[in-house]
Amino acid sequence: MAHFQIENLTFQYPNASRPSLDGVNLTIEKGAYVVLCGRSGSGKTTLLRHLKPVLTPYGKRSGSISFDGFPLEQVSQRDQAAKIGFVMQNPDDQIVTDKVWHELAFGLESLGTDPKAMRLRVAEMASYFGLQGWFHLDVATLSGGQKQLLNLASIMAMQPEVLILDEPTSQLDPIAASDFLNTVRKINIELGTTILITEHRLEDIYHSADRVVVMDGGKILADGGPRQVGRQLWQQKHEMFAALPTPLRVFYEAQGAGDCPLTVREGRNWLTESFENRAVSIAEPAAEPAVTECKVPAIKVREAWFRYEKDSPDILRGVSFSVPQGSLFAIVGGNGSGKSTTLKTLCGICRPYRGSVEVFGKPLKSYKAGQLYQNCLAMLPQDPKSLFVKKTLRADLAEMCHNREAILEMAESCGIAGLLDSHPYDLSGGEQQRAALAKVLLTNPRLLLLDEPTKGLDSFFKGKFAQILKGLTEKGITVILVSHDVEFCAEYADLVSMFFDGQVITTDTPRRFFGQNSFYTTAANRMSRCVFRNAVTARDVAALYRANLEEKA
Amino acid sequence: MCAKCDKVNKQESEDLSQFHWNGKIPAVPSRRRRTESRLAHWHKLRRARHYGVRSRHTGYDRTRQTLGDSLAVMACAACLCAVRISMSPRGDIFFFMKHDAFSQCHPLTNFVFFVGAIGFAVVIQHPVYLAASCAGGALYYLLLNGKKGMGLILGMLPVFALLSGLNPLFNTYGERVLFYIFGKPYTLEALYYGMAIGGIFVAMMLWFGCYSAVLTSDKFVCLFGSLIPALSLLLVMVLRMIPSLTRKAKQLMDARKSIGKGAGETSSLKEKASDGMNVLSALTDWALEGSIVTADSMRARGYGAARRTSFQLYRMTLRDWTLLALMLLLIALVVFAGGTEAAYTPVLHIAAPTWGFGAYCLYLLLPPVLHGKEAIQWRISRSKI
Repeated sequence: MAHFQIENLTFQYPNASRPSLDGVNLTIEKGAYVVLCGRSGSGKTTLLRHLKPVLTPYGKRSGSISFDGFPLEQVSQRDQAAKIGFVMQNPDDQIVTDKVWHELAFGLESLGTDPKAMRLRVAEMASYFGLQGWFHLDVATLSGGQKQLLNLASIMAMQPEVLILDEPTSQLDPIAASDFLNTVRKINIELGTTILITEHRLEDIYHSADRVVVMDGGKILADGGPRQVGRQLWQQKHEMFAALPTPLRVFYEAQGAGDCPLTVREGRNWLTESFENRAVSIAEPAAEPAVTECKVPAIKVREAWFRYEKDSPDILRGVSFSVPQGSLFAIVGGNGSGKSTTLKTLCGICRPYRGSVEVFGKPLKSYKAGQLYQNCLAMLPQDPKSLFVKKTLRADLAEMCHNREAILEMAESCGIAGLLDSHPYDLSGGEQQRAALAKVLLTNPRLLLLDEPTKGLDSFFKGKFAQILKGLTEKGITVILVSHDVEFCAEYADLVSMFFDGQVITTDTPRRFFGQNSFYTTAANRMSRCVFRNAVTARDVAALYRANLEEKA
Repeated sequence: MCAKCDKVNKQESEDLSQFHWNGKIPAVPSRRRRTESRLAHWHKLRRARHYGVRSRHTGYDRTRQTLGDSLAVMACAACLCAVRISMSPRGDIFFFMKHDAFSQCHPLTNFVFFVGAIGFAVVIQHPVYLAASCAGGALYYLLLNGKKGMGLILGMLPVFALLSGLNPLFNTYGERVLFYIFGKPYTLEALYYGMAIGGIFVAMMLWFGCYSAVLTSDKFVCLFGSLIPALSLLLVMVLRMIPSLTRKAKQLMDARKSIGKGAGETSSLKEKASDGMNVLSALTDWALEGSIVTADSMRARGYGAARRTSFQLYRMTLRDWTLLALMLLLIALVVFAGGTEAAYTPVLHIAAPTWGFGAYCLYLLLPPVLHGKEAIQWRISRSKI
């Protein structure tokens, strides 16, 4: 019997012009691992919320959903709380209490579980997830990845049959994200829990999914096994194809033959087999034109040392790098290594106690307070919501600049012209990011600092964002970007540097930088290292593959 | 006949010779204090003063002397302790351990102890009891917080001096006038009363400091979770919100500063206030949005589906029961032994401490004794290695 049976579900929000869900038919079997993907606004979150009665939005609905054979409306509140678990996107906001043990016990307390049974279940779950070391800690001391794991553990303590996850790793760094997804996979394999997960980053979960469901505009576009869906999207030339994992994209773009690879390992095997009997004549992509050296670099940092408190450890330990004007400069590195602190030092929020920072040739200290942020530099923080203080987007933009034409022009160039009258918090993640960028750009900076701009964005928005940044660099504005997203940096940056142990280790062009790394690099590079050199994007690999085969033929 | 105003002493039958000072302090049978009411004695003294005789606080002199002596002894002892502690070889208190043995007990035991300690500190105005309460509170506070605790304790001394000095300015009832200020008499009794009030305040602060170190939020929730589940959950959520709000406010201010909208050191007060208001409104927006997600998360986990039970993190062991019984016994002893009355204005009337005082000291020293016992055990076990 199916766990969930959705029949002809149509749903429209009260003031919306078109339905968010349009005739959705979906069956989810028991114990299946189902991945739901689609662009932002395609109705994924709305569909997931319909599967949990207390979270179902209010609006016009038709069609039916049944859980375990019974209509979902008839399931009692206790049953739906215990049997259907729901993990949301923001790790911080989901936590209710201030201590880890209380959070683990919260669900069981709400269900009125007997104290002895509660102790046993909490102990069991804490041991299974490896949380027993943090049992008495304050929630505020945990990192984002640990918090999300705590949320998962507190839901699993109620022993649900279905686990629904709505973009659980979008706010996490790659290591924490892969830890989390591995834990979810472990739960599916070892406990047999049905998993229904929505993600933008499909590299980690695509290959382990039993079924992939692609949504577009409220309708289900594709529903089947991973390889089947990949083929279907390629044949339809749909834009969702760009969100699929790299090995799959390379295979189809290079028009390879045989079984489609889903993981890096399968991709490597496919490439090695293809070039088994032939020599590779063109092994590297074409050399890039050299970056013209500008006389005055936009930023020059010399031996900067910084720590927050007198007795805390040093965060920046002799950071030295220089950024040429008009380039898109990316800084990559592990979580908590000090990249955001470096940006804050460049901005003047943190003052290094040793070393110097020069902005456009002048030392940072010599800039007066108002001078630094007008027509000089500006920073887009990690959480774009921090910049909005007014009730409408128009008022927020008007706070920066009083010229109405300038505001409209900026809104057009950032693609948010139609959203000027909505409240900033009502926008989706990608729209908020672009609105925050518009607000920052109204100060006319010559240097733009971006802290994790691609957090939680889908590939479509990432592409649009990258176009805006390229437009800025063409105008001569320098952009410094701090990111975990190796794929984004590999594709769009001009220079990449690695941050580790409080220092900048090395700076180079993306091809050379990622080409020489074996772990901290893109999936395309890891896949093609055995045959090609310095191919860091899927496009590079596919182009090289085709070029080599054409040469032979 | 009155020397000053030529008034004739109407009650000539009264023998005023008893009020003549002859330089000696006669021994007074304790019965005297109880045969004559306080008010009658006060009136007698007033008349005596008016007629120009020096009064003699016969019975009360002795108590005042002993009171003064005991206070002096205690103050010296406290100073010596402080000196000894600060001169410890490793710079910390001899018996200081990071783990406090009393905090390991069940929250009920802790709660009853603090109710008793703070209740007695507030209700009993007897100076000896107050001094004991302050000393006990200070000792336990130092044991809990180490050297940093000295900061609070030394900070209490000026507060004490202030409270005791200010009281006579408002309270003009009292017999012995020290001097006149703003036209009102500054009396000694009022000063003693001020010192008592100051002592109560200091004792209360110290015990509340110990309370907040011992009874953390999860202990409070364990204790009251089953009785007032909604309120204790609310307390827990508030405790979570406060640090996250302060962190977010800092984030907002940094973000505003980085686009040039923040108020730096050079901006005017009006600009700083307006920036603060902007940040506050953004913070409220953010908190409200976050609370919607939290509410969803609570409902998704069944909040409101059934009557809440509470996770028992602490168990009552035999030690907890014995401590609880001992505490209740000591409280009963202190209450029924009596000897805790003290009145300051208009005349000083302080009861002699009875064996109830011993029970009180024992009660207050329960946590330090437990702590010390464990510290000694550790030293013994380490020396065996």
